[in-house]
Amino acid sequence: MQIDIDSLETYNALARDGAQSAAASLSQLTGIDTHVEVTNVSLMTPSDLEFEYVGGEFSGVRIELGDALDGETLLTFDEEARDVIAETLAPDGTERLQESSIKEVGNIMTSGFIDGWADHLETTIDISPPTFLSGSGTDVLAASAAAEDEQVFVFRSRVESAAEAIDFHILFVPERDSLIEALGPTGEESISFEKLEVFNEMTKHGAEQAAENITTMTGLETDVEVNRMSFVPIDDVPAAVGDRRYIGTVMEFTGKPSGYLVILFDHPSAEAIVDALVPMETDGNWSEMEQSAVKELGNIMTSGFIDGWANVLESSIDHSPPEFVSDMGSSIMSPIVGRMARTQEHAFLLDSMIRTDDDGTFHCEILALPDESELREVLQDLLVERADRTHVDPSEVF
Amino acid sequence: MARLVEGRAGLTDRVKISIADYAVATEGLLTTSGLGSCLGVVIFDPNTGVSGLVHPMLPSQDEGGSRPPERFVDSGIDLLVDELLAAGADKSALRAKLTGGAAVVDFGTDGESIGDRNIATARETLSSLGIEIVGEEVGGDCGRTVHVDAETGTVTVKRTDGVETEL
Repeated sequence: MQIDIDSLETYNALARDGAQSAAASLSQLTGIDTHVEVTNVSLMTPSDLEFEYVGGEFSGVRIELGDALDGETLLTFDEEARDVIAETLAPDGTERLQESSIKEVGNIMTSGFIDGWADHLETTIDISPPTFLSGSGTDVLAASAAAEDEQVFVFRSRVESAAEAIDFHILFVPERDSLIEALGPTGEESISFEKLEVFNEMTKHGAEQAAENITTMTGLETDVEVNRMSFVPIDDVPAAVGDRRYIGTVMEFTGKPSGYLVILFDHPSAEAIVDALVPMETDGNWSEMEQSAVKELGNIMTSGFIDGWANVLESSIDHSPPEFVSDMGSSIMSPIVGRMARTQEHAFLLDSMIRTDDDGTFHCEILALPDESELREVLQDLLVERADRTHVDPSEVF
Repeated sequence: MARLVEGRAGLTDRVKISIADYAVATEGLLTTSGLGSCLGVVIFDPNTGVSGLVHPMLPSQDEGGSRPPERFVDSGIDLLVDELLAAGADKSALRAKLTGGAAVVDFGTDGESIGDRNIATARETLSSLGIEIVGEEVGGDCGRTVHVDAETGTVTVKRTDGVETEL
């Protein structure tokens, strides 16, 4: 089963247009100006999808699609957005009335989202009546999606308004075979779906190795919670990381593929690491000693991550010494993306989130950005049977 | 992607601009965040009260062939000026303010950073168009968030080290 990456670009553009159309519908209905922040298509396991809806209460609609493109869309508003919409469209309404206003808005917006796909496919896409959903995590996620363990493509758009917090997300999870059929005939540049899956799995092993390295170094119990490979327009990469403040390291890697590895800790996590690694009281201002502790950890995590890739790809990948960074995620990404944008329009963004098992207070993002054409080349040459060779002997690393 | 915000009150008076994006407005706020090595170029006409903000990532469109003009400092400025004139600005009255161009990540091997080259290209392009730069908050190693009051062209720059400047 081959995937044509170029047609994936086309579909990503359709998803962005669709999200813009949904945003325009919302603006018309409520008078609130909204803006598509980021659209990408990710390959992930359905169980990772539920993390889209962790950390808040969401309301929205689920609509099933049929005919030319089977699958489902989930359009969800965060809590503040739901309140703004309900108050705008059903002021003083009962809960039931407010629920139906969300359903109606969600239905109109989803129709706008789907129209572009139908036009592109020159056909109609049947849509089911909307099902209201609310809650967090698995309450929101479609039961059918959560049940399977096969990796799926997910088109994700995040739409925000600058004035009011009326952010919404649209997720479109097409059925795999249906999407591949819609993507059309494949050319020489196509990559097998299996190889993409293997590479994603391999990245997950790399992230698990990096998480183990955190535990070995700091004693903090960590685990990889989310792992996904996204295909993102290059200009959208900084927005995909967001404006949250992070402490971390940036490394450039050379070889096949070349690229960048960015490891970002939120502030409490970076402080926990420094507390564990630096045996004296620190003032939280990221002194030389604290910076070198973060860099040392970054170095070891990178080795674990990159060596796994090199083993499976049978290539030699070296990396530069880590550079300490402390800033907004999007600002950290901008010079990296600037360098990559000279030669590529889209990026493969491999994003793994490491959290602590119990309370989720520890938060680390590992973002790998391999050169797009070099990654395509190594994936062409990848032998799927080498997929299990990601293990790296810690003694080689330390 | 141009969005002209005109005569719309209340909730819609703020437009967020992404990377490789721009907007022109006669009232309300134009905002952009996550400015690292990218630039926030503000061009405004104080007499007619129209302002524009573009958020380019790389210095020159030469490096990108047929790519989106908003992504580059030189072509982004040209585009913004065209849109400002279309929105009623007077070319001879245009003034500019520059923000961004930081070296958030020190790559060490580059010689001049992308941020420095972006700043230099903006100065050259604006000079060749005869647009005076009346305010700057550029360089350094911090990310920035920028707000532009569209009516007056007043720019507020918030750096991630806590320093806030009004231009």
